[in-house]
Amino acid sequence: MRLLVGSFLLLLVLLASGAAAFTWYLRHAHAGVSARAQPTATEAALATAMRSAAIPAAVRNRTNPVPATPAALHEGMEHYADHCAVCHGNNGSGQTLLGAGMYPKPPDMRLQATQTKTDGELFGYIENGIRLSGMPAFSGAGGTEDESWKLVVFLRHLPQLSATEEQAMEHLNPKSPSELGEEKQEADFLNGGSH
Amino acid sequence: MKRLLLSLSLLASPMAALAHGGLTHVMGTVAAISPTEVDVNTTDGKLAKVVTEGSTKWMKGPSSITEAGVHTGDRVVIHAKPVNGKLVAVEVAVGTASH
Ligand code: HEC
Repeated sequence: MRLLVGSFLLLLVLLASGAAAFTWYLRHAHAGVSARAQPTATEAALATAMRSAAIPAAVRNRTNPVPATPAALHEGMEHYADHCAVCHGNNGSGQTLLGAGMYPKPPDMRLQATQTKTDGELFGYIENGIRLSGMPAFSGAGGTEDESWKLVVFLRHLPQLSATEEQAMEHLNPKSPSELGEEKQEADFLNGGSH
Repeated sequence: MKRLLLSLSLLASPMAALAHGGLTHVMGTVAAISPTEVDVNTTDGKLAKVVTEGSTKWMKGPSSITEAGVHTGDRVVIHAKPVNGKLVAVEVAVGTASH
């Protein structure tokens, strides 16, 4: 009996000190578990393989039914500048304030890793989102499948995006009232008004 | 209370050098200009030194201009990125009004 109580107490002490050590580790060793960190290569490879596997073959094998016309590209670009650029950046680099603080981070979509994915897979990510990541599902947001396919047309254009196009997109990015106010104030100042 | 004072003072602080999207906005008149630097008397009464580079865009209204089109006394709005404690101009917009 004594032995039993003794080992029970020992177990409690061990558990408590283990929990305390773990908490200390989380707090101090890593200054908290930050989403700013870069996932390790193993973790990234595993997660990418799993989310890729989660796209049904029927979706993966779909080819883009929307032809890559200048009009489709432009619509995709407008939509992207409005809904996607906050995280992915107009140029697709993922170098944005929000993107940099995410775990996993939005990838540079101009690179092979994204561009070699099938149209269907990219479409699948846009429609369904990516679980346990910041990537939202856009299906059911009131848009049609066509809109997502036009986004795929635009994603394919990212590696060739010109500086002029990127600049044009800046005017399509959503702006907060304070940014709009500041823009107006600066324009007034440049036009010779008082400040 | 401290918080309140802080937010009030932030609200009241001059709008000349607001930073967002990673870029600092410098608004004022050109005090001096050289091939590598624009010094600006900001609207809140400070002197801001901004480094310019080959990649700096120079704009007057909707048109691109060159640095030669910017003179002492011109009104400018500069969007600059902080690099190693210096401000490096991404875009310099110069006033459209004559003076
Ligand atoms: C709130 C931030 C956010 C928004 C908004 C967002 N994304 Fe994402 N997106 C992410 C993140 C984070 C990832 C990476 C997820 C991962 O690695 O598992 C991602 C991944 C992707 C991928 C997969 C890329 C690859 O190579 O695997 C595509 C395609 C994509 N996004 C397209 C879009 C499009 C198109 C939009 C706009 C309709 C959009 N995203 C809006 C955060 C966002």
